[in-house]
Parts: sequence; structure tokens; C-alpha cells
Amino acid sequence: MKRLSAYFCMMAILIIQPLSAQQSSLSSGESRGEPTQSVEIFEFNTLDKQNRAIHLARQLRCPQCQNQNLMESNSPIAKDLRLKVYVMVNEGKTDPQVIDFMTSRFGDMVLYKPKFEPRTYVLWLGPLLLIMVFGWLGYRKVKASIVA
Amino acid sequence: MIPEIALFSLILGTLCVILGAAIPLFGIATKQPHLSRYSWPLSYGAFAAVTTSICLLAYSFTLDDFSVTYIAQHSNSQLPVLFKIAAVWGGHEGSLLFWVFSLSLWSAAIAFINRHHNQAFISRVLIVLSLLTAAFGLFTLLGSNPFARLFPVPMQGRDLHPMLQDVGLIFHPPLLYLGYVGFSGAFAFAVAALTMPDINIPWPQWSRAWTLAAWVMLTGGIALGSWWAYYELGWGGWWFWDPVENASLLPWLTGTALLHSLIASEKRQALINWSLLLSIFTFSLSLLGTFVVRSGILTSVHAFAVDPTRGLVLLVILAICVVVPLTLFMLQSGKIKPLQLRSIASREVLFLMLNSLLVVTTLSVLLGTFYPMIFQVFNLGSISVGAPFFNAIFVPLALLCFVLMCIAPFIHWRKTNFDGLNVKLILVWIAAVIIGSVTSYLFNQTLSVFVLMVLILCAGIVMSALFAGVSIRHLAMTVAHIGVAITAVGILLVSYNSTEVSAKMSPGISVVLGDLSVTYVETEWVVAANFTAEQAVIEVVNASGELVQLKPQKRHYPVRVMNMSEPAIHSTWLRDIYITMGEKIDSNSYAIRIQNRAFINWLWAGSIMMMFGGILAIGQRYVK
Amino acid sequence: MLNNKFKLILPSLLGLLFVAVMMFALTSQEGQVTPSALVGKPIPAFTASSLSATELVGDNELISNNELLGNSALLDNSIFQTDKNYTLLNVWASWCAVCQSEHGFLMKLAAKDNMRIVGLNYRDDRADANRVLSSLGNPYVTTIFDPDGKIALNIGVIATPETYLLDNKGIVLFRYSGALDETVWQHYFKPFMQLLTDK
Repeated sequence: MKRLSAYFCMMAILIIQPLSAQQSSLSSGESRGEPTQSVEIFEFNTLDKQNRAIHLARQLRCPQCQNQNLMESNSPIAKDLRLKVYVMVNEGKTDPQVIDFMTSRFGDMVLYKPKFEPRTYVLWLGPLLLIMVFGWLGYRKVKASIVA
Repeated sequence: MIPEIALFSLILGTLCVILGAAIPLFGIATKQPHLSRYSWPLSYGAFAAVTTSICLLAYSFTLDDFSVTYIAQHSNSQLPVLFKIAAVWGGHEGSLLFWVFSLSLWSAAIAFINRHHNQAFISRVLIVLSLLTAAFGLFTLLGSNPFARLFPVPMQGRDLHPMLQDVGLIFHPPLLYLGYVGFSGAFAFAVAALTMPDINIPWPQWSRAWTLAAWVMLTGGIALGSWWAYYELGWGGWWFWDPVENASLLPWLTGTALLHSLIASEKRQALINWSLLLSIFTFSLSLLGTFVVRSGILTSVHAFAVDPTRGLVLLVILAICVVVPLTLFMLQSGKIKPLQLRSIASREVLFLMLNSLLVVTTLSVLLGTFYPMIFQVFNLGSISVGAPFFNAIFVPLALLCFVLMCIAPFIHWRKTNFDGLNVKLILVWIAAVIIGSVTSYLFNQTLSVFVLMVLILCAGIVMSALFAGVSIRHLAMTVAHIGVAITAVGILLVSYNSTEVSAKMSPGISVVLGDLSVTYVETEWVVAANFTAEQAVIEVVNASGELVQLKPQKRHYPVRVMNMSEPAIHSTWLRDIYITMGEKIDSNSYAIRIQNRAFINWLWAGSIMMMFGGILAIGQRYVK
Repeated sequence: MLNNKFKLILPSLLGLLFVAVMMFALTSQEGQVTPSALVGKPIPAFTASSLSATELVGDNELISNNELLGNSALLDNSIFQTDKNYTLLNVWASWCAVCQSEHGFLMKLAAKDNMRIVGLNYRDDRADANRVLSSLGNPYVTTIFDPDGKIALNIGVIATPETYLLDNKGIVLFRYSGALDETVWQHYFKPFMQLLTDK
């Protein structure tokens, strides 16, 4: 029991050995309720839903871990959220609905794909801008350097 | 006693490099050029001393000397010997010592190989390297001493982290560090060139061999890290766009650009500014990577036990390594021979485009990696930037590079001779389309147009490379570019063609995944040196009736009290069968996850080919 | 002339800027608190049983509409509507060692500072949880029993222990992940409480 506390009581601020945070698994025989087990053997109605759910879970960040998505992490909260994603997709919810569910509870940091909004314009448009700048500068340089 | 000798050795080595920088510098300042001779023996001496130091540390590990704090934190008497040695670089202090060792190694190698070249110039190169080694040596001695003693002496060590107890760990960090540090060579050449009265000395050709060597090591280090993550972490992923991974990719991208830029600089005295700046920035990015990993400034699964004060020292070193060379560059840029082109359809322009693409990619990945931190600094809220962003940016840029790669063999230096080119071009492209389409039809189930396009492009790279010829002159390029194409095909198909299924399995239960029939046979118990495990015996039969047995494990490490799931993998060229044990569901059944990872081994094969191409390029210089 | 001089100093200026930004980022990261997505919003609606009917602390200002169903009392959102200025919602579990390290402080808050604390028992066993409360003391006016973590998921709990500061209507003001102690209390929670009393 006490051993489990080491895995489950993560302090967001404390600097911890990040790897140990990922591999927090329960000692066998310890039942923490249905959800954490059934997420590993969850059955979907269609293969398409399974693929979509897994794809979506990969885009969502485990709120507690040091940079892992819901498919990668075995921490209890990741499993809970993963199961929630599976259940919602299986019920037929759309991707935006699932994403909305997560962000309204855990904030935008749980999305690995940043929303396209004013404060992320630099991020999404930056590369495009860079290509244009380099392209234009390069073109000018090449033309100026031609010595026929 | 031994740790003290090792510490003394390290101090001696640091002293050597301080003198190795001071004496020649003094010689330059007081116009006594003969003092530059001292660079060589001092470099060799430093190398000998630092090597002794790190070897003695490894030796202390094998002796289980837990009176040394570092050994007590990262080792255990039950640990197999190979891992005890690998533990030398398993933590912060030891890995910094490895940095010092790598710096001294590269310095000594450059000193030796280039001993007959322009002595005034090479001496300056060695001065730069000595300064770098001194900086890191002092940092290690004063702030991250691996030889610090522990009292009272513990009976047993804390054990190496189980995730690091693996063959991959033995080679991944050393290769990576050698790669990172190797770019200090190119850096030193560029900075030294910037200080020379005549900047137009042929430094690119000397720098190129060292850049290639560093690039090969870095490619190997990154590929090994990916491979290790793939078979160790249990979910079959191989790249996560984690900040620390990105930190290793950034110098690789600019290093690739540098590699090509140096060819143009050596052959045509073109793109010299690019070569200088890329040399400076590639090593700076290596330093940035080190800073990111050790300071904890970015959230990552890889970060060492982090300490902001350590980060500060690295930050200062990084700042100096950027500011000083750039200032020199500004001073000297007028003296650099200007670019002269005959035509736009020339390889120089192609390389310019490649450099631009790679630099834009680097800046984009850099932007995405640091964006969350910028948000935090300016209080804009919380945000995560992950795989979806990086893939969206990286893939199109990579594909543009691939297009350039297809054209490259047909474009000549100075001015392309278009005679007969059209026919050859068309032949190559027809071949590419045919091969691409056939491959897509045979191997890709998803009928995606994107997959078809990329396969044609990769086939185009291969065909173009082969067209350039397999003569000695072009062999390196051919091999390396084909390596890139193979890696790309692997990445593409593993993303699109992989399938998986998870099921509750107990002895006797069977599950079907595509053409595979998977049966759980029995559960075994395994006892090893420092762990115990439950092991599932699973049999997989494919469509042709061939049977393989896989044994995934759930391991328990008593010393660190950790559980790890160890996957079982069966590899073939077309796919990996990848099985992991999940939760124990009841007394005899487990959640078993079975994955079909398509074409994953093409990734590793392609990486090895790329490295091989790099090695050929180094060897090529001596065959001429 | 000036242009040349400027070009020369430019790298140094940029370098200085870079170092400054990084240093700032490094130092500001110490003591980071992940803000809750619910700040400014009420705790989502829920119904749950309390940890035990007999643990209704004999306090007058209790849950007015609670029904006794056999052994359990039923709780819902209304427990956050209060006459007091604030409520603390503390997420804890019997298996969480760090939670027990903050338990003493919670007892002090409840007794000396007269703070109203509602507990959220997260993914726990009823008997184990009650045992902890009877042996270490009960700082909570009531405890919500959440064995599957469903309520916690809706609130956005990411770790244990966690403490939410709510106003008298049940709106979330602040969330702290980690064990409470005097320093944390003074640094993070007190400023909020000054704010409201100043109004």
C-alpha cells in the first residue's frame, strides 16, 4: 500500500526522476477498480473507431507526466483519460467533442496540437514566413552573384 | 586511492589544456610564432590524462567502490559488469566527464592527423579546442565532480535505473556525445579561420573530414536512441518529438547542411559564409542541447536529475561560443571572397536551397520546442507543442529536400550541361513512378495517395543516386542518399501500415491480427541477477504456417522497487511482431498487446546506410 | 560607420538577450503551479455518497439537504454554497503518503484558522479511508467518496494531494498541487483571502 503512494502522489513541483513517473504500474493483484484494467482490453465496435481513438489519444497529453501522451503513459490518470477517450469515441462522439471535454477540465496544455489562435500565430505561421524570407533572400543573392 | 588518482589525472588534463590555450595565445600576442608548437604535445598530454581519469572511474565501478558518491548512486554489486561500465555515463557527473574526454579525444585526433598542415592555422584550431576543453574540465572539477566521496560508505549502491540497463544504453550516449562534441572540430576550424589574417585559406577541406566523422557519430547516436526507445519502452514508438530528442536533431539538421556546404566551399569556394555560420551554429546547438537536458528548462522524459545552477554555467559557455565567433564573423565578412555563379542551374544554387530548407526546418523545430517556455516567460498561459505540430512542419520540408535530392545528380557544378539530359531525366522518372507504384500496390494497404507520392519520390531518389553512378567518386553520395530513401520508406510505412490488437489472454486463448494467429501458451517465472519476472510464452503463426515463439516479461527490480514491462519482438524485413504484457487481470490472465510494426527495420537499415555513406566520404579523400 | 559598429555589437546584444531570457525562464520555473482549467468556474455538478454517515462532524453549518440512505449520506454541489467566505476542497487518499504529511496542517487549519474543508477521497477503499480519519483526526466537514475517480476527473485533478480554494458560491479561485504547509499557505492562499476581505 505504502509503496503505491510513491507512484501516485506526484508533486507537480518537485523535481523527480522522470522515468520513474512513467513506469508507475501497480503490484499485481491490487485492484484499483474496473477502469484501469479494462482500458487495456477495451473492445471497440468498429476498427475505424479503434484507429480514431488511438490516434486521438496520441494527441492528448498526460496532465501529470513529464511529457507523454495518453497512449505512452501507464500512470493512473493517463489510463483513466485514455479509457474516457475510448468510451467517448466508441459512443460516437466527434474528435472536437473529446478534445473539448479534456481541455475544459485540464486546460490547453493537455493538447499536443496547439489551437490556431492569435497567441499561436507565430508558431504555426513562423515556418511559412521563414521559407518565404529565405527564398526571397536566396533569390536576390543568386541573381546578384551571376557572373556570366 | 584510485578515485583520487583519477581526480588528479583530470586536474592534470585540465591544466594541460589551459596551458595549451595560454602558451600559443601568448605566442601570438608577443609575436613569437614558435610557441605555437606547444599546442601539440599539450593536446596529446591532455588526452592521455583525461583518458586515464575516465578509465579509472570505470575501473572503480567494476570494483564496487561505493565510497564514491557517483558510483553509489548509479551502481549495485548485483549489476552485470557491462552495465557497471555503462553506468559511467549514466548520470550527470559521469557524462560531463565523458564530454571532457570526447573533447580531448577529438583535439588529439585533429592535432595528429593535421600535424603537417599549415601550422599557424592548426595551432589556432587547437587553441579553440583547448579553451572548450578547459571550460568543461573546470565545470566538471568545480561543479560536477564524479569523484566526490561519500561518508558513511553505504553497503550497497542504489542501482542503475532499470530502464538504462540495456545494450542500447551502453552505446547510445557515447555515440551521441562523440557526435555532439565532434562538431567542436568544425567549430574550431571556422573560428580559427576567422582569426587568420588571410581568411581565404583552404580550411573547408580540412574541416570536412571531421564534420563527416561527427555527423556519422551523431546519426548513429540518434538512430541508436530511437531503436532503444522502440524496443525498450513497450509501445513501439521510435520518435516522440520530446525536447531532448529535438535537441539532438537540431545539430544533426544543421550538420547535414554543413556537410554539403563544405563540399561547395572546398570545390568551388562557394557558400563560405554558410559554411562558417553553420559551423558555429551546429556546435552551439550541441551546447544548447546539453543545456536543455541538464538545466530542466524544458519538461522532458529524458532530463537528468536537473539543477538550474548547472544550466547557468552551460548557458554562459553557450553564449560565449555564439557571441565571440559571430562578432569575429561580422569583423571579417568583408574579406571573404564573394560568391560567383555562372548559372542558376548549378549545384551551388542547389546546395544553397538545401541549406535554406534545412535551416528553416531547424528554426521551426527550435521554435516549437521552446514555444511553451516562451509562453511561460511572458505569462501567456499553458500550452503543449507536440508531435502533431512537428510532423505537420517537418514532413513537407523533408519532402522538399527529397525533391532536391532527386534533381541533384543531374545538376552540375558551375553550369549544367543540358545535352542528353532530358532523356536521362525522363527515363529515371519513369522508372521511379513504376517502382513507386508497384511498391505501393504490394505493400500499402491503405490506398493513400500520399503514400504513393512519397514512395515514388523515394524511388526517384534511389534511381537518381544510382544514375550518378556507383563509381568511387560518387559512391559515398549514392549510398548515403539511398540510405535516406530507405529510412523514409520505413518511416512512411510504419506510420501507415502498422496494426495492433489488445486482448485478455490466458493459457489456451488465441487472437487474430491480420494474417497472424497469436496463442498464449503458458506463464513462466524468471529469476535473474537483479530482477524477477513473470514471463508469458506466446506462439505466433503467420499465413504460411511458420511459427515463432515470443516471451514478453513483466519485470520487478527489488533495489529501486520498480516494475518494467519488457516487450518481445520478432523481426523480419517486412515487419516486427511486437508483444507486450499489460495488467494482470486475474490469477492466470493478462492484458496482452500485440502489434504489427510494418517495415520498422528499414528505418534502422537506412540509418546504417547513411552512416556508411558518411564513412565512405571520409575514406574517399584518401583514395584519390 | 555606425552601421558597421552596430553590426559588431549586434551578436553581443542578442547573446545578452538570449541569456537573460533563459535565466529568467530558469528562475521563474521554481515554484510553478499548474493553473486549473476551472479557475473562475464552479465545481461541476455531481452526486456522490459521503465517506460515512457517522462522520457528520457536529457542526451546525452543515449540508442542509442531505438524505440518509441506509448508511450513506448523499452529497452534491450544494455543499459548496456556504455562509463562510471560503471552502477548501482537499483531494486525498489513504494510500497517499504525502497526503498524510499534510494532514496535521489541515487539522490546524480546520481547528485554529476555522477553515471549512471538504474532503474528496480519491480512488480509495472506504474502510481504509475511514481508518485514516479516525487515527489521524478528521479536518473535513464532510468527505466526498469517489472510488472510481469520476468526480476528480471532472474537476481536473492531476495528482494527490491537491487543494482547491473556492469562494462562498463554489467558484474555483485557485488550485494547488502538492502538500500544504505554512509556507505554501502564506505564499499562495493568503493573498486570495486578503483580496476578498478587502472588497
